[in-house]
Amino acid sequence: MTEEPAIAVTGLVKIFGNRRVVDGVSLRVERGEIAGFLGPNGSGKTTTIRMMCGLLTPDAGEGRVLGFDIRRQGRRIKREVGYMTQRFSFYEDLTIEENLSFVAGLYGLTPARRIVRDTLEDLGLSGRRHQLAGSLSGGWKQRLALAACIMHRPRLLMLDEPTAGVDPLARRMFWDEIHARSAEGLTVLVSTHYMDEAERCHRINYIANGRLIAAGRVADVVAGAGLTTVVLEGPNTAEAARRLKGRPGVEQVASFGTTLHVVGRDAAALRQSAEAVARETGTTMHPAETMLEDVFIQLMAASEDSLR
Amino acid sequence: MSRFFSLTRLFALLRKEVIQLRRDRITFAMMLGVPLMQLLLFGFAINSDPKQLPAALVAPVQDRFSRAIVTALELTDYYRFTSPGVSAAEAERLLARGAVSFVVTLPSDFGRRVLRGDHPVMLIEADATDPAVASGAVSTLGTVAAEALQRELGTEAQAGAARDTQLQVLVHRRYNPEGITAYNIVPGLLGVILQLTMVMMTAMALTREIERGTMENLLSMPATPLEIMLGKMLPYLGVSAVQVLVVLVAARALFHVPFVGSLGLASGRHPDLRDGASGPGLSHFDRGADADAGDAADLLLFPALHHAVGLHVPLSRHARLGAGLGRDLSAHAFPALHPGGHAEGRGLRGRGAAPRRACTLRDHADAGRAAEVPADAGLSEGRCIAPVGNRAGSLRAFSPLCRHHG
Repeated sequence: MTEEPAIAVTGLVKIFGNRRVVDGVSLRVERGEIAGFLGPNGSGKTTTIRMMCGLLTPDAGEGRVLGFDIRRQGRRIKREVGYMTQRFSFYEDLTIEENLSFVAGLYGLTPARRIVRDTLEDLGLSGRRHQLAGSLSGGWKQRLALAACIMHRPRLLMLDEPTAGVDPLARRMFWDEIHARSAEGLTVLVSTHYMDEAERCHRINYIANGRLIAAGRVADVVAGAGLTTVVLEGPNTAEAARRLKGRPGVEQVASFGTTLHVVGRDAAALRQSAEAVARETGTTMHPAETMLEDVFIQLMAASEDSLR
Repeated sequence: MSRFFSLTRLFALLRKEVIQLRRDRITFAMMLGVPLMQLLLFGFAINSDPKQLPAALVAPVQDRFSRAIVTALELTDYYRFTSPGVSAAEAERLLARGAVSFVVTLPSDFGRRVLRGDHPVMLIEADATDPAVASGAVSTLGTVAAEALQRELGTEAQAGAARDTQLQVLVHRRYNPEGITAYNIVPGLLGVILQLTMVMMTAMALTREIERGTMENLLSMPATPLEIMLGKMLPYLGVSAVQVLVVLVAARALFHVPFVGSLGLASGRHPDLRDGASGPGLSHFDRGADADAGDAADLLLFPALHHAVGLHVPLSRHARLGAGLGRDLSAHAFPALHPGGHAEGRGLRGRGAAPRRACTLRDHADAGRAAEVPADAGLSEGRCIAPVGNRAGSLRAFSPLCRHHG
């Protein structure tokens, strides 16, 4: 039982109207792992998460979360999972402490008063315990939501875009907290758009148009994409970017300040085109490491092509 | 294009508003359904001159005179004798239950007195819970009945003959002898107020939960739908209990509406509290915006608003189309007025029924003792008819003492 992965689902399908929002997603997350769940907006991340924590019944597929059947044991799963919704969904007209007491009551935690007090201390919320949740800034709201999710000591945490609209410092603190919990044995599934966050995960799963199209460790996913990247640097990168578009081997051109990232699958053709443009525009070219973001944009473009 | 008013900006706003209206189905319901429903309700269902009101006849001796009276009354179209030939006690029950609006009593010596020309008397007890209900029916009464008798006696020609042969019709406005409208409207408003506020508030509360996204969170935690619904409703049950109490206290303090039984108990057990429960059920089907819930609540309120009209225009005055609907609702919302539907002894009627030992004309009729009552007993002066007043000092023209029953 303890060897069983935290999440093992296969062939999940959810159809809204005539749209297959989730189309045969299989996912495996080991215990104690931080799994990233990535994909563009509307790719089915939230729906998949909702199916896995028993909020939605899949139209097809099955699986087990923490050893419980997602179709039949939704109630057990809810008890053991902490689910943090995409949108702040605690009561803005309640104080931090009142919100936590409410959650403690729902989970039947005893002694509620002490558990709430400990959670407040743990997450550094003690000083603001009497503040209304609605008056908190984004970072503090997220902290409150996290506190409410982990108060009942779940074995699995599902975080749906937890850091949207949160400043870098708060994000850093948030991830430190997640890693600390993970070290204690908590399994975390976190969906995100941010590539730096994806790189903080042990393993990532990339979903697009309801289908899982890449999974594995970050380095594996990057290597698996088989992309080559070169960087052009110089005063005239705007002109270089214009000239690069449509050249053989060039699939992505992205400006980063004064540098230009050029990405493509065909390494030889890419290098040739980039060198030519570098000469024409007087910029310097040097090879660079492919970034996760490049891979994702490639994957997104590919999955869109496959739809057409 | 002015700084303060620009047609372009106004047009942009109007366009946006029209698009939103078009997308909102509830608006369509409000646009088409509401006027139609209101027209149907107000146009067809409300009748300010109710006809065919149910009546009971108490006549120990059935003779040609009683038949003449009954026929004449029925021909006015105001009375429909649904319970002819019942006992006085039965008639009292029917009236208290709201099964009949009138009880017509002809004493057992009625025919004899008519023939003798000895001050014949008949009694009509009208359910004046709603003061307006009886007025039309009662107003035609005296002349109709008198003419019927004259026809029967063949004394039409000598109309306005001797005073002592003339029929005297006693009219009792039961339960609300003074015809105080507040007695009718104030308890009735209780239902309307509760429906207005409770349905709205509970529907809103649940919709707000969905709107703010907190419902998602609730469902992901180990709370069952039943618990969530109960958790939503029960507090409003408390709120509505307070409302009931406020209305009841105000009814008593400001309007002196009579009560029977304990005020506290009544407010605690008032069936109107159930109204609070319909809100969440409503918004359960309505996952739209807050406004939608409000609209839907409005739609639900229609019948209640209809009944608010019914407070001024009583139930029995609604034509048959509306009566079914109205009666259904009123059984819910206006137990005080229709004790047959709900608890007894708490409403006006219960109060009216209280002076049970009052000696009424019917007591005589029922006991068959009317014949023994001496002519000077003053039946025709109504002295033997005890008041069914609600307030001290509001007694109508009757002496509290009955010579025959002490």
